Amino acid sequence: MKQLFIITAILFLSGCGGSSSNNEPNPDPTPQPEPEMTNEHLSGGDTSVADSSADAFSSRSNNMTDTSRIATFELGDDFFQNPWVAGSASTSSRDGLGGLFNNNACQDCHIRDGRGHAPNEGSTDFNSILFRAARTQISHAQQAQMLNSSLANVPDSAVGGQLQQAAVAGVLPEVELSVTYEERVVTFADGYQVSLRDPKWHFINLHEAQGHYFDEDTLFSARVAPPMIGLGLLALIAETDILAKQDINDSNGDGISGKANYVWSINNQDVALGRFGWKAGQPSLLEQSAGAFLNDMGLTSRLHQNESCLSHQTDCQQTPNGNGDSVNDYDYEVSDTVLDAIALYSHHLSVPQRQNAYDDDVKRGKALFITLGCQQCHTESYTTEYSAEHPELSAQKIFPYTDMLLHDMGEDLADFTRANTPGSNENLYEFLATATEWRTPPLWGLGKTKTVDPDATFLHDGRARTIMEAVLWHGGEAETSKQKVLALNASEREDLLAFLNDL
Amino acid sequence: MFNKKMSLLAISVSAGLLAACNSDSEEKEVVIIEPVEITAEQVKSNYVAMAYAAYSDSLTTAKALQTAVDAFIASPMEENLAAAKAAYKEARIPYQQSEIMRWDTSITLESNLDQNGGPTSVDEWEGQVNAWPLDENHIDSIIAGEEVINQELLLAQNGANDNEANVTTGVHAIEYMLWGADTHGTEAGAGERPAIDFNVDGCLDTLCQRRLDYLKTATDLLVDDLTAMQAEWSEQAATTAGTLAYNFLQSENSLDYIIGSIHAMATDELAGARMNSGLTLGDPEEEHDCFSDLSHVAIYYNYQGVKNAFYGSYGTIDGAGIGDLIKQADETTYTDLHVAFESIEQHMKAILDAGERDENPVKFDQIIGQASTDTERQIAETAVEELIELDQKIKAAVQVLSLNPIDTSGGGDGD
Repeated sequence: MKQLFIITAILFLSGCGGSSSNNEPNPDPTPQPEPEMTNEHLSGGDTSVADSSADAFSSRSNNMTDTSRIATFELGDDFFQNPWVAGSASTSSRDGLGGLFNNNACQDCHIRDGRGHAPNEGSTDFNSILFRAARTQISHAQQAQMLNSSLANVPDSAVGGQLQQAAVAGVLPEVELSVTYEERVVTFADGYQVSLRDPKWHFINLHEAQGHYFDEDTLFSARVAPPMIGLGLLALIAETDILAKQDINDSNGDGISGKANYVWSINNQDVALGRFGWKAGQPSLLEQSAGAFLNDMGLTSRLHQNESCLSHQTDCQQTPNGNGDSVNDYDYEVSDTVLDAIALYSHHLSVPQRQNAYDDDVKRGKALFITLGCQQCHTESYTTEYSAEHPELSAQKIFPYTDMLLHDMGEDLADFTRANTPGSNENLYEFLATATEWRTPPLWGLGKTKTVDPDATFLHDGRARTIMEAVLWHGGEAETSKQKVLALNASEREDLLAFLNDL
Repeated sequence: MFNKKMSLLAISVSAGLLAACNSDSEEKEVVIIEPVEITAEQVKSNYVAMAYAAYSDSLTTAKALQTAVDAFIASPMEENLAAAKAAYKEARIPYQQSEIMRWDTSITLESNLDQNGGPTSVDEWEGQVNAWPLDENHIDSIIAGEEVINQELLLAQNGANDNEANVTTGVHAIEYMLWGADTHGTEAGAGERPAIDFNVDGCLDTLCQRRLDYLKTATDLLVDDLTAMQAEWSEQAATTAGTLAYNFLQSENSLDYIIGSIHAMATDELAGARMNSGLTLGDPEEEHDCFSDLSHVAIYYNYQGVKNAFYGSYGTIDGAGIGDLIKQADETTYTDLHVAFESIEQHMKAILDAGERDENPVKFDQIIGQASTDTERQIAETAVEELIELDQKIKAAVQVLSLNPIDTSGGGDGD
């Protein structure tokens, strides 16, 4: 009897130590209270899908049952995955790529509907990252236009608003790209070290020979393709909820000064709240998609009927277009049916469920997340608005961990000159967003990022190879929180990462 | 290979049972028929057998195509071109059924597939054999060029400029060479490349020999590729580490893979890309076999591949299928699927027949151009709807068998 008691006691003690792994067999025969399950593991509410495979980001909203909507989703999926071809091919619904482009299939950047990555040093893999270009020596009138949301920015004279490193046959690409990295070692209070890599981007302007030089005052902005999950839910976060957290002048003195980006809606011909893109430059998924078609693939649509070729890029302008298709006449390349299908697809890529939301270490990590102050920008939860157009996404309790606002993240993460010197918070870059400001990205799906693509990297320019590296690059408004992170000990780091890896 | 009838029934004869209503108390022989439980192992080994059979048939018909192509090359007359086209059509029948195996998963990708020197990725292999869309301008530019046309060139040029539509090899490249571009839109008529395009003596330009070289090279490469894939699924392969058959049999996720493949082929591919894209957009170029107008054949046999995986039967093989496991677990779920499969079969068969009949045949690109009230159009749209609805029933099957989603990703395809 005594022996039995001892054994039981030992097992009981190990049971309440908070074993973190689901895989360890629990020898404790004493019944433990069930952890309280709420709906927190359903990061996307009823749309969440139970999938932790490499396809975890590629399912439609789990509550979509209407067959014609599913058919539209599948149509969008088809056109999202498959390559677009140069003009005048016989697959005329899919042609018109270029003259200049970054990639020829959406999913080649948004890899398996997840994010892209930065190339390693010496690699030429710039397939899932692109660079914007905007001038900073602009007139007062231009500045005013950006501030009243009628102008995104003033593009560079040689390459326009975006660099394209690829082109169809007969067209000269704009640039050749490469990257080198400078190592930076960060040391925690307890001596633990993490190596960070600071990218230095190198552009060869292939049009200089023709006399087209980058403007001296141009700042470049590195943009890795972001993940495609949960976007329809983000679109339905109430504007009032987002604006409620805005505090541009830090009136409450907490060091956080979130700012909404007001942008121009081409679709509505009016000012609108920006939500999508690394600086919240697009107000809707329809417009984000149409913008990506134009700028990233050289494909016109009803929203952008003119090619993105600059006036001096005559070879680009002369490439055959892919207007219309073999049965329908329309003066642009992406048909309305396809554009709308892509928009619906983009609304409905579901967020995968969390697997260990109620485990002790994950809960400890979440508590740390809060005491560190992360949730001040990475807001945990909302209930989406009702939408007649997207009933599946309506009135869902979601856990995206973003406030959808712009924040100054510090000079290290700023947009940069050709010489890789940083821009400043004085430089407007994209409507109201400055060169140091970035919209808080959602953290849902974070832990599955590398399951979906082992090559995926984090932050807008993909410099962070791990989640911890991404945390350690936080500066500007996040500097105080980052300093608190550096004071964490080993088990606290473990708990924090257990939480972040479970999202 | 595995006789289903034997597996389902075990006849046991029990002597010495008393018959309750016989007052004689004589011993009676009673024959008891007991269903024998189908196991996952049986389903898996039958799947391997079907894969081998489908790829073997694909290889056999590809070799017949090769023979016909060689005959055409020796004598590029219209009759020989017609014979080559007929052989191409025959080759679609087993190959499209084999496509149920075309997905890369963790079973294939991380598993030392190159150990035995065979293909290292099913998706990459498939990209060489059946890639679509195909930008025929790329093939034309190779033919119009100067480089020697051989396997090395075609392989090097496949996917040139990082564009997957620059397809130079495989079934659709051969299809393009045999038929040429289809300029009929949604009207009747396929590509009409004349045999004289290949006739060096009567050549209307300077490219006839190069076209012959291209056709021959692509056909020979197809035979090589199918030979390599057949070898991955043979009885010997099943016991050789580093083959698809071996990995499939060893894996714990094989059943998940079968169900995942059924879902991917039925919903993403058939309902979506191969049928509904064309129907919704009204663009006949969206039919996958657009040069030959043989999509009605191709999609019918893709669908047979879905059924083969479910029922465990292909050709003369009639063995254990995942449907049997579903039936054992929950009869209702099985019946739902079975009824759905039969209904869809009727529609797909009607589409096949419409394209094959002698009197006023209607091909898939014509269906694409039909009004929504036209006969074949309605059949096609119903098929699409029911294929999409299949998805919910497949999810139920996943539940009753306690399976998990398995990634069927590969290359740029997320699905």
